Amino acid sequence: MASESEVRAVQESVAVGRTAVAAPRLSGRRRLESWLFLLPAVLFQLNWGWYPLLAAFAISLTNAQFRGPVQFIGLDSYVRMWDDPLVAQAFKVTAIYAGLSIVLTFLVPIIVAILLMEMPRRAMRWMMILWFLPLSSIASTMLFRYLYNAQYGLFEWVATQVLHLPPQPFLNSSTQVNFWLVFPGLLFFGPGLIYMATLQGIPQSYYEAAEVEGAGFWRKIWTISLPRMRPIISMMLIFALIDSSQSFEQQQIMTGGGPGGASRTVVLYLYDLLQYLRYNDATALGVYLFLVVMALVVIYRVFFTDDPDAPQGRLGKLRSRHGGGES
Amino acid sequence: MGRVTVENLVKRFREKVAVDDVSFEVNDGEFLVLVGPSGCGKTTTLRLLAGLEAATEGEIRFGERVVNRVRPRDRNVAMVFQDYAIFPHMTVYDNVAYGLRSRRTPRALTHRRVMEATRKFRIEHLLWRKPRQLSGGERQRVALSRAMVRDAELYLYDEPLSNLDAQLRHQAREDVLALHEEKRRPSLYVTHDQSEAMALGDRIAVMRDGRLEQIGTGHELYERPRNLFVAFFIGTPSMNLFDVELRLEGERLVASSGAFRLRLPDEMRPVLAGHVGKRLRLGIRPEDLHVPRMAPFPVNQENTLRGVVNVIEPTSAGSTTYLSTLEAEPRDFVATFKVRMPSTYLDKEVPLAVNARNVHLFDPETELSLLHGA
Ligand SMILES: Nc1ncnc2c1ncn2[C@@H]1O[C@H](COP(=O)(O)OP(=O)(O)O)[C@@H](O)[C@H]1O
Ligand SMILES: [Mg+2]
Repeated sequence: MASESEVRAVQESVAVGRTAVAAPRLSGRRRLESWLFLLPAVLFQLNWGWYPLLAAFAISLTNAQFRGPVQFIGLDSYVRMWDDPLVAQAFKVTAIYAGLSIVLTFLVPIIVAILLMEMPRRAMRWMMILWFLPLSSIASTMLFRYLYNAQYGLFEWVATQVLHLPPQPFLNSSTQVNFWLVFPGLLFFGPGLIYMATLQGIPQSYYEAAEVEGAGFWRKIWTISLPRMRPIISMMLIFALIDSSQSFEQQQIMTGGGPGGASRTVVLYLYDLLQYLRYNDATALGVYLFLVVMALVVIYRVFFTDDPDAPQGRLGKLRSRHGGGES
Repeated sequence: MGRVTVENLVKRFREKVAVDDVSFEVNDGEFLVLVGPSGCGKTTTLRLLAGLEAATEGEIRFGERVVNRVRPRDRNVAMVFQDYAIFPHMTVYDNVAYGLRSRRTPRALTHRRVMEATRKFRIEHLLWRKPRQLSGGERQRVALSRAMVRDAELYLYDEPLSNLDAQLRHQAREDVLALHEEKRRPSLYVTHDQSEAMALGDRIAVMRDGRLEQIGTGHELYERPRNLFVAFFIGTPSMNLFDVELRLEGERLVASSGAFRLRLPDEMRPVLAGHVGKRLRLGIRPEDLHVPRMAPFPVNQENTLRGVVNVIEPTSAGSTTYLSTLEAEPRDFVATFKVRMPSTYLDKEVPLAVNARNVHLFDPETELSLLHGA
């Protein structure tokens, strides 16, 4: 019946004598089809994405007791968490950790990938094998705990015997701990492979045109490589942000949040709360974290267009008019 | 000073010889067109000149300066790529300004140049668009503008019109020539389309399999092709070729085949004396075949060729007629007339007068022209 009305619409417009028929609106059947295509994804998202989130939100508004009646307590848990100094500290630790992690494990691979592409083919292949050794993360985290050991660890040996520094505290120092927690991530270099694949996909003719137009090494990177990598960089940045703000394993295995809470991230604190059966507080904290990360992602999305080839946004227009000179 | 010289240039990719001992010069202000079939090494030659490939052997000079070892960015050439290679993530303005900014041109001057160039190529209203929002013709004009804003020592074009439809191509040719008129620097233009070469080039260099076959003005190549390849490649429709035997019948020099006997002009006798009795290739341009009663020369049995009309194609100039010879194994050939051929001639046998003064003769072995030697 839907196609009938479609046919009628076409007949009508032909009868009126219009030659250019406007694109027909999605008919009912087509709309149903597109929903059918979306259904698996929607169900998946509802079940594993939104359902736990809403459930957590619901729990956070109750006293969440196993024994005794479940009571609605409103925002009490939120207020308690807001006033908890350990929460403030956990957010601060998470921010430091995320910042370090983005600089070291997000920025560094971009630079390394770009430089690797400039190397001779053979050298590049060897470097790639070295960088991309498939290492299990828990196992290597355990390994690093020994490497950092203050008495018999490799790092201590390098610091004292090779570099002749005074003994270093590594994980026992509240100022160093977050750096050393991030450090193993540098060696995994996972995103580097993605960047290199993207770089290899850039048409050679862009670089050649740039060379003929007088561009040097840095200008080629700045005006071609980076803009062409923008969608992937943008995606990896969001992943890195979400990932590092929920970091927990390394801390749990290597430091347990110490020394003195200097590496106790939000999720680790949340985990601690669960240990004390404070489910309502834990879920409230989870909702706070969700809101902060969501806000960051939304802000980022608003100010940043993924597609480098899309028509200019308002920001880009402003910038190029300034760069473009005055007419 | 502005002349660009290429001497014994060779480029090998492993075993494959892409450019094979090529020498030519582009004079200051000259527009040289490099033409040849696909894969003959035209692009490679351009890339060698731009510095994007390193020469295996030979020398490239800009003026007196040998530039073999000079990087592309220091050669100061402008190049229009076949796929334009404009940057999709930059606005038209940024694309056009790219070369000037690379060379740290003052901002006000950059701006003025960009405005001039984009106005000239009618894209000044598109300055803040990105290439994706442009049509093919507009993209091509962005590429031309980018070449235009700088004062390069050499302008290179790699088939810049091959992605345009016939209508746009005409206008684009004008644009390319306008750019050249403005700059008056050596320009090397690559195309596989011989009619484009004829329309654009001050001189034309014909290339085949990495070798330069002949270089000269369009007229020279058309009237005096040095070998079979150039003769066949230049001109549409292509030259008709027949296998003939050269005979001396008394005083008369005759080219004879199964289908016709053609008397050759007496002036040719000294040049052809050594080839009497041999099998040769006879070349007749389609426009040197005439309707007998309209021929601008006396017609007789000795300069008449008979054929059966297969297809008649009306053209703006008259008509193009596709025929085949009258012999056991008929050969197809083409004639262009200044008049419309009525379709009643289809499948009929017709006599055609041959302008024997304009025929070409080639040695079938060496493929070299016997009449227009090197
Ligand atoms: N980078 C390369 N490596 C190997 N062979 C190449 C390379 N570039 C071109 N060739 C070969 O050289 C020949 C000439 O190519 P090209 O100059 O692109 O021809 P044209 O532009 O006349 O079509 C071709 O046979 C091509 O396969
Ligand atoms: Mg080519």
